[in-house]
Amino acid sequence: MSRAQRGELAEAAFWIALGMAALVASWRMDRLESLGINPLSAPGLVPGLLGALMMVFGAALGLRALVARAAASEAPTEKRRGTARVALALLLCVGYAGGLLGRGLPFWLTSAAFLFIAMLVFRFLDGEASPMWRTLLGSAGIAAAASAAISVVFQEVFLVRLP
Amino acid sequence: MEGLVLLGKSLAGLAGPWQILYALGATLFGILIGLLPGLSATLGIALMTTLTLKMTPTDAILVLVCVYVGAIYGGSRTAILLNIPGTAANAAATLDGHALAMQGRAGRAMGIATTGSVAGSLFGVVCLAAFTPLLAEMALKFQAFEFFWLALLGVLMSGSLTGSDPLKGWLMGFLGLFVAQVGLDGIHAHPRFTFGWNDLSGGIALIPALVGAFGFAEILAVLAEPTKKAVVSAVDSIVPRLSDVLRYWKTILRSGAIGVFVGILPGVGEDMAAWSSYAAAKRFSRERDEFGKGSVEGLIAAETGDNAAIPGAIIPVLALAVPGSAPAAVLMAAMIIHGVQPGPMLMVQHPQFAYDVVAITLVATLAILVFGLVMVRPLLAVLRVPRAIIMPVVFVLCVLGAYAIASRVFDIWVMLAVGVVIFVLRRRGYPAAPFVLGLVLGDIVDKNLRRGLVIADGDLTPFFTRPIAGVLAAIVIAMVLWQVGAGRRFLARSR
Repeated sequence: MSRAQRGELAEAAFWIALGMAALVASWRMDRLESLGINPLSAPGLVPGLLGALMMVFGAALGLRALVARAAASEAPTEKRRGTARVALALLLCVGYAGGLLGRGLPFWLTSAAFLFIAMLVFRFLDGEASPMWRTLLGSAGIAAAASAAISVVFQEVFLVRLP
Repeated sequence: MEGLVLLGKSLAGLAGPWQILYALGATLFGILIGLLPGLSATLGIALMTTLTLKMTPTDAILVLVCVYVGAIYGGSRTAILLNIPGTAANAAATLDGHALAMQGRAGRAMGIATTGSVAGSLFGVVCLAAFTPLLAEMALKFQAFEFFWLALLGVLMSGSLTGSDPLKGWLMGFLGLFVAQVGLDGIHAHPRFTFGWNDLSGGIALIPALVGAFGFAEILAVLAEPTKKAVVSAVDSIVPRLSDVLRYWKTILRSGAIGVFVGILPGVGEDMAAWSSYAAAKRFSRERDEFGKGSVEGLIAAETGDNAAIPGAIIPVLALAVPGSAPAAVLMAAMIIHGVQPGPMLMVQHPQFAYDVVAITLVATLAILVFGLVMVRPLLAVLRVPRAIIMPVVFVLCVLGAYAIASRVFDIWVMLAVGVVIFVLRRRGYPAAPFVLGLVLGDIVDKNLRRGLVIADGDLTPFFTRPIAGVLAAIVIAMVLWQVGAGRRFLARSR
């Protein structure tokens, strides 16, 4: 069995599990009989049907992966590249947006710090030809200017209370 | 005649200095979004929805439509100069656009793209004005049964046509429909899948989810790989030529008609319109051997098709409240946020607004012509800014775009979660557009299926025997059966 086939089987298992969870949760959802509503308008009806559909189509995906020849099943998925870069981007973005914002630190400061580190890291990874001091100073300048501009525009022009 | 009077009023209302400023600024922003590979029209509209909250509905939609038209047009620049489509809609333009650029005719290619974009948009505007009232009048006869099938058809069609694997597209559509069920249900206000969490009671807000799907997921995809492509310089004339319009008028009309038709199809979008127009132009062309090697006709066809699809995609938004593309889905959400409910009653309750949208699309078309003539070279400087600088800034904008709608940190988490899930699924070949359509149409599917069942007292036959519902049901069933047949043939070949 090829790697692509194994991947599709894992995806099928995910869809079947998700569909089953949705179906069970919908079945167990309150049908509001005590309110005397028409049982055909029960809140769990549509999510339950969608759960069933995800199970059926997930099973079809799994069946296709099992039956198809290895060569034929190489689906045109985007190549797995740059996993380390993705992990780094995730760490920086989630760390900034999920970990720092809304925790009492000023928006402009956290944003400037995020922008500086992210720009520096990815310019370094992209192998920019500029000297190190220039990249450092350039990233710091752009990060400070962008953070200040975004803060002023959103807060003063669009009257958004920044996180 | 009444329509012309309303259109005249709408155009007069857009002639104010602020409206002209909004149109030019928003179109420029849209072109910049389109120029940057990885940033889509959908993201641009979602971000600007947040910033237009305090505007009047007409001004806000003016800004959003200009961003939409500008982004689809701007993406052709990147397709021509970098051989990377700025937005998915410009993929077909890379074939002949970049080939022309490599022959030292990059400016000429950009002029042709401007010609095609303006011609396609104008053709679409005429269709928008002509077909919206007709479709809305027809839709007045729709009941819950028809709306249920129409919304389901939109999700399935988007799943079939926007990716390479309909099965995966449909699963994404069902996921979007399911996520839309989270929160208080639309009929009895009963909490579904909220797990006692107050933030989930209001449901998954559309704008943060869209910013996650089309913003954060794209940022991750772009940052995943370094760019080392050289930008081709444009040294020749960028001025669009009337002779191109006269020489290829048949191609322009055909591509415009295909673009509008594909745009009207629920959830299909501009990229399919461009490819279909390109394929049709190649089939009927006398110079088909030139296609892919720098054909003027091929580039005109692709750019006319994708731009004509914009007004095409807005037609079902206004008449049926069913978006024709992912950007149109955000536009529809923005209309609702601004208190305008699209759908069959729009032409009855707010006919002026429908004509405002026609006039706005016309203004946006004129704005891209202006920028196509005067701002080509300065705008290209953006392509030389490293993506390692642009993407972190765009991420900060995404965070604020998700947050500012309701000033809730929870929405930032929604954006992050949706972005990561869509990024992972896209890498496995699952398209994002059906998910978005599902998210937008989930409420319509849910309410109308249950309403229909209650009206028919549990009898399913009206879902199939009412004339329009029957036709829509037949299309849905045929689409599924056709794919099942294709799947069986695929398996038979594999054995």
